[in-house]
Amino acid sequence: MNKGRGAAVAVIAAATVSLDLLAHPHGEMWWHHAPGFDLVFGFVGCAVIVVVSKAFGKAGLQRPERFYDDAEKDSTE
Amino acid sequence: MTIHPAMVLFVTAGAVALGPRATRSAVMVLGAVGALVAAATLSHGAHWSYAVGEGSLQLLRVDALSHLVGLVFTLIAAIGAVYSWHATHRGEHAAILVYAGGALGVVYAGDWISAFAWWELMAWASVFVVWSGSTPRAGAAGFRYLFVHLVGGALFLVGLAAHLAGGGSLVFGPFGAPGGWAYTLILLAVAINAAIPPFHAWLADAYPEASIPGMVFLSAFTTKTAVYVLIRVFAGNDLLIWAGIIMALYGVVYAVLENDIRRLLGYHIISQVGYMVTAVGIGTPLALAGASAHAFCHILYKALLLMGAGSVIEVTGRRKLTELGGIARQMPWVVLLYMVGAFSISGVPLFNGFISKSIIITAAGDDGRGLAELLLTLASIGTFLHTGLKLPYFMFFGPDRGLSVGPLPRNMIVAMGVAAACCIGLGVAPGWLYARLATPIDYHPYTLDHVAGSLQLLGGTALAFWWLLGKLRGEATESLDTDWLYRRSMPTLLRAAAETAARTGRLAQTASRSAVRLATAYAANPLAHVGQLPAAGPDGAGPPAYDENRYRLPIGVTVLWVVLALWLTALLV
Amino acid sequence: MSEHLPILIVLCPLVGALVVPLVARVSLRASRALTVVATLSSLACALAALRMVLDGDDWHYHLGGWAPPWGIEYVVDPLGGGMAVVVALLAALVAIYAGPHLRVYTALRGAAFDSLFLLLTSGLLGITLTGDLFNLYVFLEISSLAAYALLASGGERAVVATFRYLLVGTIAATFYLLGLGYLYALTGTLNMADLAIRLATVPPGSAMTVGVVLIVVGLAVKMAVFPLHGWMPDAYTYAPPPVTMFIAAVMSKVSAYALIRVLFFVLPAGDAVDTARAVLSWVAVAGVLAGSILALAQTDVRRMLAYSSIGQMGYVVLGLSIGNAAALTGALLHVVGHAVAKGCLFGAIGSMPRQTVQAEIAGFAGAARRAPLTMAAFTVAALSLVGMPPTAGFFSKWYLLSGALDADVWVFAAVLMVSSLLSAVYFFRVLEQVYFTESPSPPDPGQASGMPPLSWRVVVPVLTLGAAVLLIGLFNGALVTSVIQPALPEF
Repeated sequence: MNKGRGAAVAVIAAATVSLDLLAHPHGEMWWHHAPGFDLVFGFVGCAVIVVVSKAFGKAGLQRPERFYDDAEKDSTE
Repeated sequence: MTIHPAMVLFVTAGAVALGPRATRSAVMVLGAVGALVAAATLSHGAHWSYAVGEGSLQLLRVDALSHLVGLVFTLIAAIGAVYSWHATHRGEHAAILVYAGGALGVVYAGDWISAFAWWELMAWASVFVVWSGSTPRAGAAGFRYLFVHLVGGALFLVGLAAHLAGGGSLVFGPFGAPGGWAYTLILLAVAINAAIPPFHAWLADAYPEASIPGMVFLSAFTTKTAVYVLIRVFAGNDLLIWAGIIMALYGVVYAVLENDIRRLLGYHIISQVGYMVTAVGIGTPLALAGASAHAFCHILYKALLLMGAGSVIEVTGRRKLTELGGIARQMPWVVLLYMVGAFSISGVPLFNGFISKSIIITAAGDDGRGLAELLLTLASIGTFLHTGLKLPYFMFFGPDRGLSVGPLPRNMIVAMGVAAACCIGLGVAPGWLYARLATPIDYHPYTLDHVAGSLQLLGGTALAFWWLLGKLRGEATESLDTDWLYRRSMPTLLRAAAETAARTGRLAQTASRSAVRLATAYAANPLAHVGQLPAAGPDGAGPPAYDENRYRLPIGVTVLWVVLALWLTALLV
Repeated sequence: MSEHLPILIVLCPLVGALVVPLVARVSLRASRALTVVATLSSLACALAALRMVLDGDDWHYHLGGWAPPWGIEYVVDPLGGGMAVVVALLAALVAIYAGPHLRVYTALRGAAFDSLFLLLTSGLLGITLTGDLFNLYVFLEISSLAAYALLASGGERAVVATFRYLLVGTIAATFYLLGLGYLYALTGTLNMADLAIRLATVPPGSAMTVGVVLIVVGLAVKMAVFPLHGWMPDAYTYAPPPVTMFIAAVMSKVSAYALIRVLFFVLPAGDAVDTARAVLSWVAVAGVLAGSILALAQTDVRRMLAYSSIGQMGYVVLGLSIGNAAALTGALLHVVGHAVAKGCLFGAIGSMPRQTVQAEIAGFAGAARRAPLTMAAFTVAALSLVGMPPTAGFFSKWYLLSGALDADVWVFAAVLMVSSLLSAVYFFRVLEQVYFTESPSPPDPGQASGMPPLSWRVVVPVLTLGAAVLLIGLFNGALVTSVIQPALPEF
């Protein structure tokens, strides 16, 4: 299964990068012209988002469920 | 005579509230469709104008922007009406219709006063929509929502009064000179409704507590009306660029930590609205066109996503990722239609997100804002991660927990189908939308460059998702957001204020009692008999409920105050 | 006949008050009908008089043909005429509303109630129409005494509450009389217009100061201005529903009207009035905030509304004290709007059958299902007090806000906003119970105290008032230009 998956990944990557080489990029920044940039950016960006968010969560944003319910009263009293 | 689409909805709301149960849903759908027809057939111009003082109230000003937004509002109202066919609570239906009508009112308003009046109507009607969840959590969340929106309304009102008092124009449009109190106050008020951090916590707090159809409507109107006001009035404000980018990433970060599926989608509303806010901040014609196009498309695919999530909740009774999974085979249509929405929001070519989001990103690039462009793309990655990969995987696929799936009302599928058709239709033929934008743009999304870039981005994200699958499981936690500030402090503050007011009264009473005791030489002291304060405080657990008999001032104290007031005033006057 | 309209407005209920007990010996139904007829005819006369005045000049009617300043003069101008219409309208609606409530009374007691009610109405109408300050005192006392008797009819706690009100109210009326005495000593006249002319020529001195202070404090107590409000929450809470509906709606507004008359039409502009207004402004701010905060702490809805009234009257006093055209417009519009809205609120509450004597907020659970129309009217009136467009309350708040900003007093604007927020919280608390909480098992009719909810006599007045709140809001432009703006003093 994993080999199949790996093969599929390779095929998709190759196909999209080759499309990139065919295309006429427009845009001023360097990354507009680099082939395969978006693939790498997608992968790295996703990983960064997950890692950073989890770090925030562990740093204190995440609390057990019903965190507010113990101390919460009707806000109007 | 031109018909105001909002009036159609109000009349429908009245018919729904007073009419028999059997026809309620049909009347609602009929009314919403009628409003859609009314909105589609409006001709440009200022209708329904009333002269007032030196200015005029314009209740129905139709130009390209308001026509477009009015169209999508009425469309989603109609789709949502079909989706909520099975709901039975008439108050919910009526509140939804009044809410939608208020939003339309703001969109078509040509003057500030009308805009404000409809804005307030929208606010309190939406409170009732939140309460339609009918749970204690919905009640509490509704109050917090109410408070936040009333603060926003008050800021708007004061800003508006200051604007008019300072000689500003009554016409609902850009300020003559940006900056100043009126500008800032109104911008703050709009920022609250647009859910710009740090004023955004109400959205993820209150929206998921509404009923299942309720949240579909809530997602469409409040934030997009705020975006509409931003486009009309605050275009080009640089602050908005960074506010929008922060929003876009903020929503994505919180979504990683979220376990409740509708709350997760709520954070994504914040994220997507961030795109629109950034576009408004950039302010070029392309960017503004992108903002309105994105708003149009977002309403459709967000509703589709929420309808899908709502269907899952409806049939399984569960709303948390940690409790869902393995139900794909039992609800194939929902999965399919949900994925249409997911692909749309992620910007997959041939779906409507692709044709709108890319305008904004390109506009950022064209304006020389490279960092903005990159960050928005990053947010896009996060969006696909959550709505396109994580949510469907853990909701539908993933480990089978043996959930039993109840029957799904047919109308929900029909509504989702219509929305999905719109998403695909716009994605395949974007020219229809581009032709109706406020400023005509020369933009072609289907270039090889764009398509290849999008596919790569999505592919890369998918790869990372498979790699990090284990880390992305939902955890049974809640995240703290800026609402922590007022959820912890507000109850204590209010109680303290009431106790202080009463305690001050008691202090006055003690002081005056001593004063009277001094003067007791010539009169019997009736206060000792009339004094009604018990000596000891209440014992027992919990804070004491306000007991009027504890804090009653003897009337003699009031008499004393009358005399004191007399002397004080005489001294001053 | 029509040349005697001003006096007829006051006479109809007065004569009715005397005749009703006699008719009741014959037939209770006839006496009830007579009460309603008396108030309705007073309303008709008031409307006719107002219409005539709006088209032309103010109407000066000399009682008994005696010319002022010796004779007593009744003046119908847009302000007074408008107030008279409001009072008469509410009187008529409450007269209808009280019908089911009085069924449990014996004939004698029912007749006494009606008679006192008509006396109260005539007293209040007299205050709005009179052009003579001493005549105002007479009517003030008539209305107060009738009010005491009516308020005390609600049971044991009501008796104690009314006694407290009696003490303070009598002191207040006496202060007013004393102040009037000083002004009389200075000028030798009691007629308002004459006083205005003569006071302008009197050099400011301690006599005038004391007179002003006494009158202002006296009327402030009647208006339940903070901190002189101690009598009000109890009086409103324990009284019978129709009584609270009328008194809460109208009495403090009429006292406010009297204060406006004295401050802006009688007393000369000068240091005394200016300082009085400055003091009133800070008092008003405290009242607005204190009223809203204390209302939040209540569990009994009637008490909550009483404290809310204290806050709302604070708005009126705030408008008075700012004193420019916009603020005064807001204050006057608020007087009308609040009268109608409070009447609607107390009427709706009074119509709910209750398990216990207290009207707990929790007792309203599911009320929307039991009484949808009255609760809809309640909602509209509540939104008016919060200040949501398009109800009357929004427009009066808008004018007050404009006035505050014109006068550059941003503090007042902030206070207005904060109190709106607080009002929203305590009203929406009730609304949540009404619409989104399921009611427990239906209350046992045998134990219910209060009104049977479905009688048309109860529903129609409440609905009328609710509709009036909306109509006043939607047509406030017409109201302001045709009635309120001509009523404003020259600036």
